[in-house]
Amino acid sequence: MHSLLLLTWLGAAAAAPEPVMIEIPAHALASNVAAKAPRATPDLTQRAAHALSARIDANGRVHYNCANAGDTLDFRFTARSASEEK
Amino acid sequence: MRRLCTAVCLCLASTSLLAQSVGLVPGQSTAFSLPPSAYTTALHFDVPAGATSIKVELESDTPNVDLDLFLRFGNAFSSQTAFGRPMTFESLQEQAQYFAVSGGDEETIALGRSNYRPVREGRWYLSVLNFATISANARIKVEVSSAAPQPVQFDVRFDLPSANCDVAPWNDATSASPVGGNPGTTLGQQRRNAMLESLRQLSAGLDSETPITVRACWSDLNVGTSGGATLAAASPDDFVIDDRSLVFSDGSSYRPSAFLPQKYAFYAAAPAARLGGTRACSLRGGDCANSTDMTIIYNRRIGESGVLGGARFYLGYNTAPAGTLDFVGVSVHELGHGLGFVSLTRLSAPVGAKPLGRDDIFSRQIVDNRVFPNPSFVRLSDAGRAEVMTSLVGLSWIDERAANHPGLPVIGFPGVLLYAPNPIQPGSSLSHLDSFYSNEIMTPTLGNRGIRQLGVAVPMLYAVGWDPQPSTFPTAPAPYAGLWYDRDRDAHGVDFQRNYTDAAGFDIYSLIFYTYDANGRPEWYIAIGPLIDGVFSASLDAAGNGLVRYRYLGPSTSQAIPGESGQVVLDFNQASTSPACNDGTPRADAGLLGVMRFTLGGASDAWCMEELVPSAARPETDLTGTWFAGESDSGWGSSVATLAVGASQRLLFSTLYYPDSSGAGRWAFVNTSDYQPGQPLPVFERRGYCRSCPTAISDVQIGTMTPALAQPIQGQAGSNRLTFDLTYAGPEGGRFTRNNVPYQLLSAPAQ
Ligand SMILES: [Zn+2]
Repeated sequence: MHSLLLLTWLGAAAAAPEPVMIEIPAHALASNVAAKAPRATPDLTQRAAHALSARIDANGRVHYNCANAGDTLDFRFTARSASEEK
Repeated sequence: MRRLCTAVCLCLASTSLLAQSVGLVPGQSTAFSLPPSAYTTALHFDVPAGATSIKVELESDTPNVDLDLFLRFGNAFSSQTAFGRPMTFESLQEQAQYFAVSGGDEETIALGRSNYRPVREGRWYLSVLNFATISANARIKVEVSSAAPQPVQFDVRFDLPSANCDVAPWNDATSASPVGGNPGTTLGQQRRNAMLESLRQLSAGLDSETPITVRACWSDLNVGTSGGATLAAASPDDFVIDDRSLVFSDGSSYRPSAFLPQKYAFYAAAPAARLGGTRACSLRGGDCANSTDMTIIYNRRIGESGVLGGARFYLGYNTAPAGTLDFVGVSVHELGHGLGFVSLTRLSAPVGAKPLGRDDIFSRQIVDNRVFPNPSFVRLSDAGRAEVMTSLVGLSWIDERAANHPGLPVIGFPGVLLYAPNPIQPGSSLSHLDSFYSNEIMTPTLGNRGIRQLGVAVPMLYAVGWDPQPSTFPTAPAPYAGLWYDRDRDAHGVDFQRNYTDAAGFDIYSLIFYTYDANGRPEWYIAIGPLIDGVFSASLDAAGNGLVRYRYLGPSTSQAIPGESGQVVLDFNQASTSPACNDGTPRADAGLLGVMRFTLGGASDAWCMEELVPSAARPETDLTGTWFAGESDSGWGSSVATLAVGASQRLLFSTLYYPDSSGAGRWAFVNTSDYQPGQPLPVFERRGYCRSCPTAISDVQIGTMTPALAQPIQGQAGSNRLTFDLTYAGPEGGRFTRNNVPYQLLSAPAQ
């Protein structure tokens, strides 16, 4: 009953959250289809991409070096990060 | 009273409340039907003592439906919101400690003892959602086991072609002779075998109840003009973060991810799948057909006569002979990055910048070892990070298990040194071990020939989401019910109060945000919702708003104003690691912190909140709470805070929320250091500053108030009375009075 008072004070359309036992354990979902879509969040994978390169010296020895593959690629998300992060 | 009755009657007629929960029997498949666009919160299962893993599998006998699965320990999912409305996908997800929400009809959640919320004895609760517009016949099965943790299993996808992903080389039919333990008899077979051998090496020391998927590709990668060539490139396929304060201008944000041990830090997709107990598409949502956790691309041009002198990949499992290219070693190294051995700190301009201003979990393990006590790498400025990244020996990974890794040479620096050359080497700096560790594969140059295993990188990966140690189920923070504020936004604040416990067991809190409009005029907003594992998440009203502004139309008659309402989340978990609480303002002396993210007028902000009145300073008779005049005169009320002053005095601070002549919410306050019930006090209106404006405050007296509040009781006024007479200025100016009205606590009395 107390919650009703709260909701009244809030001026909201009130409903009782007190336990009322029922038999059917399913509820109609409030329509909110958009929330289910995968989020359009920035792609950070370019920043994380690593590329391993090799060169072979005059003695036939292989020298490996791992560097960032993303630095040569598109960094569009960084413009977004500067303006939209919070 | 009629209105209340109407509400109750409507509710009983139209919504179903607490349902009888059905206990699932481990090992036994249970079938049930879900109507179109419907959910159930009435499933649970019991885990016995000694269990080490649980696996919940949901599938459908109805084709082409979308079923989702939510799991939590402690109490059931709410079957309706605090507004008495049906749950939404989002409100179910907010209550989930684990979820699996792909676009398909099969979902699995598999947990062990080392997840952030590990398998534990007791009752676990489920919610299942049918997102389809047709009825679905679902089957669910829970398995509980006491087996040892599963070594991580890698599923390699050799079959996901795209423009940048040629898969034909995996099926190259050119005949080949078995080599170095690789029994393949075609080139394609040998390549696949070598890839699988790399993953076998990679899995040593790592466990996961969820398989990790790797997309394996070939493409034309860089061939340099000076003789070098790229052999392979790899990356995690995604990063996830548990940060409700990160909101983009289009309103999008990352999913709540309560399964991540550390908030406000990015995790790579593979450890996220392990920690979340489900595959990438079930964490992200969407299609599962081509969803993977990490990708590796090999250079299709290796072997051409003009590339590295025609040198070929050596596909044997042992050390590559001179002049050949070590396929397995290259793969283990690159896939090590894919597992999360990678920092997202920028190595090109602006050097040192963090991704979206956030930490990543790899960078959180790093300190500047040149200064004592060692400053955390993620707490430095961008310039500070840029500087230490070129300090040669200043970057240390601080972790006991890594530092004590058998065979790791002792170097006289704390922890394990990371690669910090000067000048910065794009891509190599920071995300590798110092090249001094010549027996380690995660050095930029792969270390000595023939290394196959991750070595010290294994305990380092523990810290980024791979820790196999059994964890202790975390205790949710218990915020103080009372006034909270951000010391950077002085004179704005929230009254955060516990009101009741819903049928599922969640404490329902209200939040009143007292603040100022664009012109500095006082205004207030209200939210109500559950505190879920330390996160207050406002329930949404009919218009989809959680932080609601009301228009007062008369006693007990108020109307929401959707166009002036917004959203709010107040998260008390690990707030000290949030960007909002690391904004340069010292807060070391503060107690529990919370991050309040709100959206009003299309603008989002995140504030670092702390207790206005320390809970330790509460008086014996504590009047702290939200007060109102009862159901027949609602629509206005007060926040009250009391504080012990010396042995016998009580400070009282109270904010009165009332409507102006246009019905818009306005507030004023009283403040006395020696509260005596029945004593008249001056009421001040504060002209403040908007939420994004520079600080400016001036107070003007607008009347008097006589609070005669003696007993903090909820549900009845007793002898508590309130009198006030306010006359406020401005175009909306007017008078608002009450004379000796019964006054009662709306919120639960302070504990
Ligand atoms: Zn590397």
